[in-house]
Amino acid sequence: MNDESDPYFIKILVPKNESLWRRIAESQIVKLEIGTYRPSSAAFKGIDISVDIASKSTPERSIKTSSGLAGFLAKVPITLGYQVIENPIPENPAHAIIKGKIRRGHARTIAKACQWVIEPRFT
Amino acid sequence: MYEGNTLISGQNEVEPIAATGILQSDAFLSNPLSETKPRYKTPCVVKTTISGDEIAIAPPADPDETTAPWLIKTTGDLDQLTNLPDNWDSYNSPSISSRLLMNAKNFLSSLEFENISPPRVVPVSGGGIQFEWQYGNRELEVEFVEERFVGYLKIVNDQPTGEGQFSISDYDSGRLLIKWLRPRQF
Repeated sequence: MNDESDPYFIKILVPKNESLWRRIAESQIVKLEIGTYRPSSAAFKGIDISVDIASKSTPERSIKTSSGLAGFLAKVPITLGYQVIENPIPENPAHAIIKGKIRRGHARTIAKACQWVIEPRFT
Repeated sequence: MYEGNTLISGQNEVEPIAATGILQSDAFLSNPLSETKPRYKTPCVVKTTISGDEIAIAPPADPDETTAPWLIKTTGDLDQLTNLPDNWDSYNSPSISSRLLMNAKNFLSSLEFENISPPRVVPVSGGGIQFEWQYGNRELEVEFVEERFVGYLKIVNDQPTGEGQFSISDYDSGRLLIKWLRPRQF
């Protein structure tokens, strides 16, 4: 486990050209006037938000029971000033975090940069 | 105004039923010459004697008040959020707290605009509530994540142009945000 409280912690930064995936709950999906959907910025707010590193997972493994799986390049949060850090956990070796508290405008920018890896399914 | 038990409107005289306060005639509400501007509940702010915290509390319902359709819709959408269980987003987000829900409802009640459209109501990862409005090229996000503050983000032409926060008891700031969203309405 990659934990900063561990004295042997080694911070491994995710490179800019890596794709990141985040699961999107049905209640966080915005329907656009043109009939398409996008994730709300509310899905990207918080501190140290979790993502999966695409090259270390598959869409089917990452989506779990969520409605949709959104993807964006790591360079989006990195360009906004955030570090993307590998954070593998036993149940998810692809796990990474966008370090720090995501500002409202930045959450919106990340949400707008997303493309669907798995289109949302609605109940 | 009331004189004795009779409401004097200038155009009509109608008597309230003593026990309920309900008007016996609806002529006052339907008369175009009378003052029919809808009045909405504005939350009042009290300070608790124990903690000193400011808490916004909606006043009791008044049968003479009109509830805007958008407010009814949005309140219903908010109530739906209470059904979200812990871990509703699969990232261990908690269910929506009753305090944040109350803050969001009081914020909505303070917006005295009849023609505003209902916002999208979205739960925020990590625990919170977000309202999203769009009018033309302007968008507004208002969030309730911290118990004492309202956060907001202004967007023009898809670009974030300003963000900040204000006290939950600062209802004027909420109204100013709506004015910013719909400048030609005022």
